[in-house]
Amino acid sequence: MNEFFKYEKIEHKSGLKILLLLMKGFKTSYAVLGANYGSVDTEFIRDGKKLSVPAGTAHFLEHKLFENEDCDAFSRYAETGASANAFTSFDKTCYLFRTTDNFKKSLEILLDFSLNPYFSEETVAKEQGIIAEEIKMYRDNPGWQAFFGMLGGMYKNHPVKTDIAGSEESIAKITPKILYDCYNAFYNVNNMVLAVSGKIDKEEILSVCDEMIKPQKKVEIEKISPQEPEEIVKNRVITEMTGVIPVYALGYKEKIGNDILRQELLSSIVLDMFAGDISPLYKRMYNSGIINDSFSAEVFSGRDYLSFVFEGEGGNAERVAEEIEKEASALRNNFPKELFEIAKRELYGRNARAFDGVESLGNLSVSMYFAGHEPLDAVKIIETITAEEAENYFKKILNPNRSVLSVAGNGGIK
Amino acid sequence: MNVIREKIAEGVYFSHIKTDKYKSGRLIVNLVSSVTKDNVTKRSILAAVLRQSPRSFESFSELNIELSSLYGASLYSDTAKIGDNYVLTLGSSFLNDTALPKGVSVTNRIAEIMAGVIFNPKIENGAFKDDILAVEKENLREAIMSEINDKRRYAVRRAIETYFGEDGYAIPTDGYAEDLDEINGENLYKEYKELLKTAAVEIIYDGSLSPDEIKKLFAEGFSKIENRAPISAENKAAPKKEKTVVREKSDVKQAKEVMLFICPNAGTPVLKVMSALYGGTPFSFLFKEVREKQSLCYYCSSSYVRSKNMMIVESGVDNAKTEKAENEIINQFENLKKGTFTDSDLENTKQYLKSLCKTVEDAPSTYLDRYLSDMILKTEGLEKEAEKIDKVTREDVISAAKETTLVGIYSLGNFDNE
Repeated sequence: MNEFFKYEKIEHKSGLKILLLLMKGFKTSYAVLGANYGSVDTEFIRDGKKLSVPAGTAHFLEHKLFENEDCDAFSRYAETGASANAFTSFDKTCYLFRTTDNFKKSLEILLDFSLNPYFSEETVAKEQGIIAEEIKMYRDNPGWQAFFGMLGGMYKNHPVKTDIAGSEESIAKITPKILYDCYNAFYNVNNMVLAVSGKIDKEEILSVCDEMIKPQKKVEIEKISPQEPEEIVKNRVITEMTGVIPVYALGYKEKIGNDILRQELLSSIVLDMFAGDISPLYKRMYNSGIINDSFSAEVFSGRDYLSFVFEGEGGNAERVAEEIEKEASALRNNFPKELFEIAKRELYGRNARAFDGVESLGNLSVSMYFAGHEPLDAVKIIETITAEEAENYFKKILNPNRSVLSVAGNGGIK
Repeated sequence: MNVIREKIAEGVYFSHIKTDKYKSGRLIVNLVSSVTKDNVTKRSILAAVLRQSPRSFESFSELNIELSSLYGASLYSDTAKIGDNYVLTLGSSFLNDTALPKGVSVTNRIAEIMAGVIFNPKIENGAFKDDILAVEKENLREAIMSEINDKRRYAVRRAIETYFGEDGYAIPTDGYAEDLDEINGENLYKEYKELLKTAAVEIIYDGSLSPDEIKKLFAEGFSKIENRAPISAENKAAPKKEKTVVREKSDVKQAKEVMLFICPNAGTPVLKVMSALYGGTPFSFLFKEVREKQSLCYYCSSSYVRSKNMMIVESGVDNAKTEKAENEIINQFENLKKGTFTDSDLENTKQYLKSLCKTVEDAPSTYLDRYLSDMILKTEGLEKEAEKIDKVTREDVISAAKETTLVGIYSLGNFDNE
């Protein structure tokens, strides 16, 4: 195995896990503090007590944490020259900055605001206005609408079907108490991870952590996985929109095995062979104008869900769905083995290239950590996937009864 | 950054960015030319057709299979405008030898494929092949139509179009859907020959291998083209004219407001600081006042376009609040002119910009973009820029702001009274 970066995992005495990813020759340092808490975590048990919170709470909390009683985090970072931001995904919340100078001060700011929350009625009310605008903005985005339309057709109970930001109705229910409840559950340092990539000064990082983080008592969190049937909810979803070119999202709901990372990688290889730009299906659909450059095939997955998603623009959604279903059935017993090694190399290359960016490496390491893996596990696992394994897997996926076609716009669907 | 730039053929420059810190390398070949309303669509479709038709591959599918076999190398063609120049780029990103199994190297093979794409497309009887062209025409037509799906991008393009009008800068990069019908294999081939003859060429390689093989391939390729006479466009200042105000009705949940400001010749460092202080950072006037304090917009920011001495303010606003937001954005610019910012606001903004200049060195594709535009616009590199940013004073910013004028307002929204 090539040495891509120098990696060290430290268990800080406070309980926080620290991942150091030294990238030789880099001047930039990137730090990302992650909480194992995303938009899907709407029901959980904390120290024996069950809690249910409104959709969009994780994202709301992220917005509010950026601001404490004295001033907001952005103004504090201003003194250091760092570029800072935060994001919430389906399964995690991350606070990050990137800088070439004043790393120590920037890290102090990051740890300070994220470990000292302040939520009041007044600031919560104001944020409801800002987030409502954010939600509205996505309503004008047909790609986003098609995608969430598809998830709604696919998942009966799983919260992944709901917009990360929630809805105007759900966020209206958020109160300071709910934010504190979620904060105390998920922002305990024992459940968090700090990754630093690029230029690294280990002593400095540790001394800031020693100074800023007090040891915390562990809290027991059990995330409640929703009871999700294997079946879909409905196979066609239309979101009416005017003034747009229609966008479609075709999804196949899949069963989850025991090793989700391996299944994700296996799925990527198989999907590339099936509908990637190396596949006969892609060539046929492209040359006949059924799809265009906007077409993509992706594996969409998380802790307890996985689906294959085909997206594109234009009015041919039904034709695309038909072709994909036909090809899946034709290849089920006639798997294109000759493309296996090619797709495997493609996936290796894509993963290895992600190690060149401070952000991509830092974020990837956080995701891998929460999934119980080391940063290099994916490229190691890719090596061990065999053609036979791929062929057997292909027989079990892309069930036509588990597919949902969603279109945002008008036209293109029966 | 250690860059070696040399001329390898008439009007062809090869730059090698020497670094071994990345696991991946990049090679981009840029054909730089001027463009008119009449030929922009041909240039745009040419980029797509070339990517799909190198002669040595039976079809794009075989080409993609080889790229995947080369450990997932990418190959893309793209068009962009840098000031008044039109740039057709063929680019690839691939793994350096240090990230590949022992004894494996893909770089030179990728350069060979790229040279094939540019110099040796499938041509029959003096024409590009009809079947490939037909597919790409449809593809481009759909791409042009679907611009409307991204309202933010659409609004910026429309703002530029409404103010710049007949000026060449308003020509859309993708071209015009209505001109596609007239394009055929023959006239496209003529355009291709013309482009190879007249484009100024910038080839940039950043990777860990010796660039000799790559250089040789392209030096030979371009030397074979007869009567090469590169002409790139002269970059003109933005026109001075009456303010344009356009409101377009659309069934959107959130309105988009774009404002164009023309700045004086105060130099990029001063204007970058001015724009960043006004709306380019999360502690700027626009972010703090308009977004955070008054909750008028979801986003509201300014950016500086150095090729046109222009500052663009973009905002996403509730339909009913557009007028209020517009007034507040103007009001904040008045505050900037009055100098109602503290010394630490200014210092922090400078620090932020200087840090950005430095981090670009660790983001190879951003660095390549910046290097390319420096070569085309003949502007100073990031290191010099950072030094000059450091020297910008409060007076510099205020006097530049006083001479900056709002020249265009474009809004797209679900307005009641129209």
